[in-house]
Amino acid sequence: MHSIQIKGHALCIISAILIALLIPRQSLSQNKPMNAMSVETLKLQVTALSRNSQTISSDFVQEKMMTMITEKIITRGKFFFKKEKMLRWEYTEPFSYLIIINNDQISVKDENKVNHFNVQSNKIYLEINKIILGSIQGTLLNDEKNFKSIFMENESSFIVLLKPLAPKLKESLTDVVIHFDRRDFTVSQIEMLEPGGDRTRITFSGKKFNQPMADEKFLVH
Amino acid sequence: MKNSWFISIFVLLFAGCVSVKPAKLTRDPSQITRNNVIHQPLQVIPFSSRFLLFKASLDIKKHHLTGLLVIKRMDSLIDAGNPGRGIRPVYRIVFANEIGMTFFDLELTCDSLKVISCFESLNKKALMKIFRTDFLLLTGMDTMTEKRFYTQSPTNNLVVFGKAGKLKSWQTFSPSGDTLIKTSGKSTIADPVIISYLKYEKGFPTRITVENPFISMKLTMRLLNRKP
Repeated sequence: MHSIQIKGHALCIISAILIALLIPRQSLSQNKPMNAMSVETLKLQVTALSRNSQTISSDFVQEKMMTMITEKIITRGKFFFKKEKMLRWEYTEPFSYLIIINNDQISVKDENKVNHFNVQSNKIYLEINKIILGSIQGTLLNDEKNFKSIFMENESSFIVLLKPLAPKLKESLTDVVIHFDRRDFTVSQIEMLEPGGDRTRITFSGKKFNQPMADEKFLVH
Repeated sequence: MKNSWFISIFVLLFAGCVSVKPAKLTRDPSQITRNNVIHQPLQVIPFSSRFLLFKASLDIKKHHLTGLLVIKRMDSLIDAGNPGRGIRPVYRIVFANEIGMTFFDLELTCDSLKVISCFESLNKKALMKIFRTDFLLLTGMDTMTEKRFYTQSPTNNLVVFGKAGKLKSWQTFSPSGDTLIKTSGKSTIADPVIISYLKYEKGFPTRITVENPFISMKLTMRLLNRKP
């Protein structure tokens, strides 16, 4: 009986320590709504960054999380952007796959097969193009016609939750969550949530701005 | 009206002509245990793995979709209503594009194919019935009866025929009987399927193609990852 009481006390103390350790962290990591002034500042900073960024390059890790399946599908690659509308989205692991958007032309290279098509003719790429370029250029934050925006923040990020309003887009995406790094207002993570509960998280690292970038990088051979 | 009847009859006649039975077969009951290999039709596709990840492309008529295909064996179900049937495996089959958006997410048992989610343009009853036959054969979920053994000339491949309900299938093995080369089958005139297993590495096909000649569909799969 006595030993049970001691164990009970010890458990209470351990629990109290754990709670004390966990609560402050949890509250710090919780997202809280941004006030109107902070939202305006974020929009201005992202727009200014976009205006001053002629080129951007970055590595990325993409994780697809599926309902009921514990395994994540992890892919890695490189991302290049050059003003105004040139984008190179290149998967390097575990397969080679390249998407190039050069103005309104999309080129896809899949295992040495190259396909070209117009961005307007492919609804999926049209939306993805809008989301990625819109995030980088900051235009998505002001796109009230297509998205309802909710602005939040935590200690490391400004978080913009975009809820698609267009019925077609709603069928494939329920939310797009963009994380902006508090330090430099660059996009650190994009998360896309699907109606079935699947989600895809793209995390950017090693971002470089205004490095020389030849136009040839946005051509597929 | 007259034209639509004509077209229907033409389609039926054409469909009836799609044969998935391998050619040039000679019945040979002695092959049951050729080279001491006892063949287990529809269990050879070595989906003993719990998790398979493929780079895949799906061509249906003029549409070309590419992405990642996951085939995962989930915990099996025990049929409470009919315990005699034993344990029924359950597979989850997910096809998503490279950027991560899900084209379809299906749950397959030997009795049913449940659509968890699917792009509207793919979510057609007829297509799902075809997928069901494709994935049943691919995962080897049905237990075949009435097995018959054949030799194919001139390759000397071993061909095993089996039936499971309406589904008839032929499995073509290498002459030594240890490598599955092809599975073909159909349950109706609309779902003939030919599955080819290519480029074996460590006993597993690293390339698989699934072809449905009736609707001009082809699924090409390249193995990226396999977890036992």
